[in-house]
Amino acid sequence: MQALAARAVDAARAAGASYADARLTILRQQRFDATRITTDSETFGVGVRVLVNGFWGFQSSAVRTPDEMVRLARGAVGQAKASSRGTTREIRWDPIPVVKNESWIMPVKYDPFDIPVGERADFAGDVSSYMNGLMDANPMATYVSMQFRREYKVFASSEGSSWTQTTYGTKGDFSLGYRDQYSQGLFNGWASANTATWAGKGWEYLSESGIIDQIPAMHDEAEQRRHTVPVEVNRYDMVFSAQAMASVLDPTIGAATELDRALGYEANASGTSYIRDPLAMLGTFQVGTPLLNVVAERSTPGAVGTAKWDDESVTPESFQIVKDGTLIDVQTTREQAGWIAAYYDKAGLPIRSHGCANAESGSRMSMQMPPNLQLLPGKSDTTTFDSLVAETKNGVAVISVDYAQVDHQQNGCMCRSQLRKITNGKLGPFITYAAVYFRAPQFWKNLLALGGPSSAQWYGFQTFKGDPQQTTFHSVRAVPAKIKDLSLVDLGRGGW
Amino acid sequence: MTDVYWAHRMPRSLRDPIIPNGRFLSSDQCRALADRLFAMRSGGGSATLRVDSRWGSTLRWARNTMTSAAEWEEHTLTTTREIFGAPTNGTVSTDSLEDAALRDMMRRAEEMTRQYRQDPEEYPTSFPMAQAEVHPSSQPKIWFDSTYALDADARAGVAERVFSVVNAAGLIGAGDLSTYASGAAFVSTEPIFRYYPYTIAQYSITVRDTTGTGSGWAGVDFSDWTRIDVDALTRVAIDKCERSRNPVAVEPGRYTAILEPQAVCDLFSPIFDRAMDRQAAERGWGPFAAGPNMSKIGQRLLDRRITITADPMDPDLGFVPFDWSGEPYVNTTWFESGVLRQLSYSRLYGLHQLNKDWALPNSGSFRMSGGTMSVAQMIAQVERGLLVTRFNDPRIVDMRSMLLSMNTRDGLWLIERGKISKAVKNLHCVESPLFVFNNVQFLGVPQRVYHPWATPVVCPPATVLDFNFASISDAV
Repeated sequence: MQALAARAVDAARAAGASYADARLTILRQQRFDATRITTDSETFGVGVRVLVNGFWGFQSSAVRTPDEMVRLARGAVGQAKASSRGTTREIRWDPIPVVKNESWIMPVKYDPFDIPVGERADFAGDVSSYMNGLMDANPMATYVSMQFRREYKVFASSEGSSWTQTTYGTKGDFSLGYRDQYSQGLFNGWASANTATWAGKGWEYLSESGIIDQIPAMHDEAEQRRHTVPVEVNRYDMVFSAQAMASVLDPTIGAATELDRALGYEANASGTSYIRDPLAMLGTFQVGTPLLNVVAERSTPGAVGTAKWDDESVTPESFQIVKDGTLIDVQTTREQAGWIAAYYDKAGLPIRSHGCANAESGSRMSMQMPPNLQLLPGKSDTTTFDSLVAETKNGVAVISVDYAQVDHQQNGCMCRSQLRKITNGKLGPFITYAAVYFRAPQFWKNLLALGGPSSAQWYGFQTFKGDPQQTTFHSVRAVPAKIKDLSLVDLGRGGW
Repeated sequence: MTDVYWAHRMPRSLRDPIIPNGRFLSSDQCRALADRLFAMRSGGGSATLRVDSRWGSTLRWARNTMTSAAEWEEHTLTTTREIFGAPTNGTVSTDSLEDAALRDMMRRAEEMTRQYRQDPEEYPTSFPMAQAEVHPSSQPKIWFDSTYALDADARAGVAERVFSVVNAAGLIGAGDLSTYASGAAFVSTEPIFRYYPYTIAQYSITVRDTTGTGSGWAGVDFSDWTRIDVDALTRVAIDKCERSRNPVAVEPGRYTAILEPQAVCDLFSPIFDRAMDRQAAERGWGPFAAGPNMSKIGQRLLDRRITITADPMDPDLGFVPFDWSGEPYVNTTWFESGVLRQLSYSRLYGLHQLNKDWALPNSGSFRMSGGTMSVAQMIAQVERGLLVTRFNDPRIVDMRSMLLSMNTRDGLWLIERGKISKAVKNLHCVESPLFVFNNVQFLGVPQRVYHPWATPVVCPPATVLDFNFASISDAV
């Protein structure tokens, strides 16, 4: 495989590319439901990316022969030359340290694909039977799903870098609910274990998760959720759980600080950003209160966005995006770091990629994709979700966000959420069918308090970006928080 | 069949690997691939193979310069097996044409049959079954050399022409030009062999002004590249951008709305993407559930003027005439004069519930009938209302009522006394297509629209009453 990658790169150089890289990937994916394996795929992709006169060309296929490498390389050069049409585009392409014949495997305890399919199916079956076994007079419906992925990647570039990297992703969905509620199309008798979002872990993530121990609590929660109170549409101080904060942070600061998006390169696909003019806003724009600090990295063990090298052979370093409420950096690839060179020069910072180049597979051209993100905790370890609730007289607790729907500038955000009333510092009943609606800058400026370091938790997210749309994975670490003065809106409409 | 018989006895080195001789697998190659795969069976029983072999190209540009030019070839091979009544209940796939990968896929499929447990809620499977024939006249014209022949130079030429126009207007353009050529095959040991080649061309452009206060969009897809009028679409996006600058806020609330064909598609597609399954409806899921084991088939759910059909032979809509299980698509009237006539079902459902040995698959494509009015004529009829270009990212907030949450995007205007009076800030909407299309005042001339997955859709523009615009959005 390494020889194939090298051959592709050599052929691209010979055909006139000033820079070339080749990625070969083997992606294994499996999905299970409660009784069996339902999806089992292996995909192979090889892609050659070239730079000619500052224009990018890319060609990929699923055939791994030496002749095919040459064909792809020449094809990619042809693509780039066609775009160039004899002109030259200015791009800044600084050299990076060469990685020679190295190899990295994401540390996991058990490679999921080493565990027999039957053993994993039995695990899902056991969880499902235990959930169903707790059935009382009201029959329960259960949902069990497990997903596993492993990507093996071989990289070579015309700068002399060559390496292989293996990464993992594991996810489990376990939920249960009252069947009568389900059959009425209502979700308010449901509860989910929210501990098994995508993570850069192996089979141990599910097998050692203690999911069985959580089921009685889920059962109680489902029971509580059946008895909801109507929405009282108003503005409230709200206490967000760590999961809810991660769900808000991901689109409103994560996606918003993707440099290509902010500059309009994604305008015709996933959209733009409320950070409309990054060069003018970097170093000055107040994203939120001084409490807000956001760091990005790709090195935390167990996070699903973690990697030793990105798809341009950059070793990602930790970098701070928001410092004391001010926007100080954005997510970049090698080319993109040059787009804001003026800012880096002024701030006395090195002009280097933050290692955010990523692609769905070797068959797709790499682009800027989100790294792992961390909302830095508050100082006091005594601040937790419970303590924030206890100090709230009249408000709303956002237990979890089902999804955060943002507009095409990552600004207006509607969080369809599981909510509970807070009265005199105590959690009250669940609220029927409501959402929290806000604008991103307003949300972060209304931040009152952040949970302490021990309240931090990780959650995995998927990103969809580009055209054709690519899907990549990253993790977000967040803490519970209190936000003042947010709108609670009613999503229900009677009479249907 | 000698080929099948001998294939597994031949040492691997004597056999040539299958390498596409075009940009995607031909009919003969799919057949050879199936022969080779089926010879790898062990344990008896039947097998199927479906092949989705695709060549694609995308040219992307932004800020009036080409940002990437890519071509790719990929093949998804998916197999099913049935041994002694135990089927693979799921999908096993690979994208490699190498023998080792095929053999591994077959082994994984056979392992899956051993994992099979009858789900008490599913029909007992009596797999495999002879399939309904694809009607010999069902030969949609969805292959166009004009699309296949559009090479990198020609694509770049198109983009260059677009930049010059957008540049001359002093605006910023971001766009995509994509072309696809594919072969879809379904093969089984029955024996069944189905293969159909098709092309897709897709163009879309977003034009923004330099200060970020105006944005316009236009886009479409067709099998035939020559049916895409790039210059006209570019002019539409430029015009929408210029006219949407410096929008003013209007009070959220219920307005008469003129939905352009794209907005109608954005609003109605979730129904075809998520809600058309008959078995799910009878189990109480989705907007077409009507009580225990009942769906709303036969009930009037939309305005009487709306008929929704899907015909693979429709010249504006053509699609491959069979689905991924080889089931033929037939000309289907899903809604007739507002009445829900059909919901899709599998052949198992057909056998067990309807005593019919066929399936009614849903391709996702649809044509919504309309009228004769143009958008301009519809504007002239509105006293006060809003003109909507399209919706961003509709999300289902309630499956039961098909309530969607979404934002308007790339052009929203206030109409007063039959004329467009001013550009309006985008609005966040919470609405259900089943409510909206019961409140129709006028329907215009249907046309092909843009679909993110290039699923063919034809929709009319519509004037609808009391559309719920819930709150103001700051996004431009």
